[in-house]
Amino acid sequence: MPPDATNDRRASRRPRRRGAALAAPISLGATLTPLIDMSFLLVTFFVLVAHVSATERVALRPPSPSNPASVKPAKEARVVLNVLAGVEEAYALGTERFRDDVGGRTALRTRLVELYVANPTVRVNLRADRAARYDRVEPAMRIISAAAATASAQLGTPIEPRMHLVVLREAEGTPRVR
Amino acid sequence: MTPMIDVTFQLLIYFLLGTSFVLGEEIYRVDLPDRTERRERGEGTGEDPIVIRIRSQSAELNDYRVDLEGPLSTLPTDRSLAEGLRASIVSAENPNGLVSRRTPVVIAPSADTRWEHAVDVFDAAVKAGFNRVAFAPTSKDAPR
Repeated sequence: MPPDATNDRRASRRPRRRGAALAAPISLGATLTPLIDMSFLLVTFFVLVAHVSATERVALRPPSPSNPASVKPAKEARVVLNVLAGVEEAYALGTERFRDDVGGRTALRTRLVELYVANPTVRVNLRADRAARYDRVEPAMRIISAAAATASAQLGTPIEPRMHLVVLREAEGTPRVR
Repeated sequence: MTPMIDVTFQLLIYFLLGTSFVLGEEIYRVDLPDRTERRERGEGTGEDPIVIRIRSQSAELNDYRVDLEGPLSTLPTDRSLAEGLRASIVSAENPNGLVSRRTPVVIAPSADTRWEHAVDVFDAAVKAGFNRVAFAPTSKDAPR
């Protein structure tokens, strides 16, 4: 079949757009405004939540009691002390890791004293893995208390050693995210 | 409309993936003992503390053993720990209670107790209405 006959058949099927030849030429180009808008929004979001990620991005599973009497954390100065299970570096304070021995605990207490001296009202969120042994979690509480006492002596002002126990509240019937 | 829909889907995917990391984390507020003054357990309160000893039996959520010492050593076993503790608190509605809300509660898990079991008992004591709940120290020494 000759090529001219094929083109004629296709042309006869489609209705001819009479005004197409008179329309303005189409200009092609990327619309950057929404991209820039969303980029700024994302930057703002990451700036606001960056401290949360830096302190809490430790992979562990906090305990999850059924219908707990816990409360939502308030907006206050706090640091997160993570207690891991089954590894030598048992304690994580931000990006710093500390071993579960006398040297590691002493270093952890020294770091906490520095934080208390810098901000005496800081609260320590104790975020322990549900599988951690009690003899690994309890020393962390004693270290927090001892650090507050040491900082209190250094500053000459009383510091009430307070901490928060972190648990995972899961709604009834909600599948757990692992 | 295309860029807006694209970005909306990207944000939706981001939040779906990102929010799961801190899903539903909450806190209990705990006051730690002041280490500048050495105080014995229950000293100064004039009350005998309720000591709750815990031992994990397995890694299952509710598989742990609880023994009570002190004024509530004969807590009935036909109800949950939180309900039993709540029923022991004396109040206008419960004049036959044995202890007050101010009675110190000391949670004393064994060294190998899983943290989730210790927190479960802590939650029961808080839910019952006690407001002086503390964890007992282990025999393991920590730097002071």
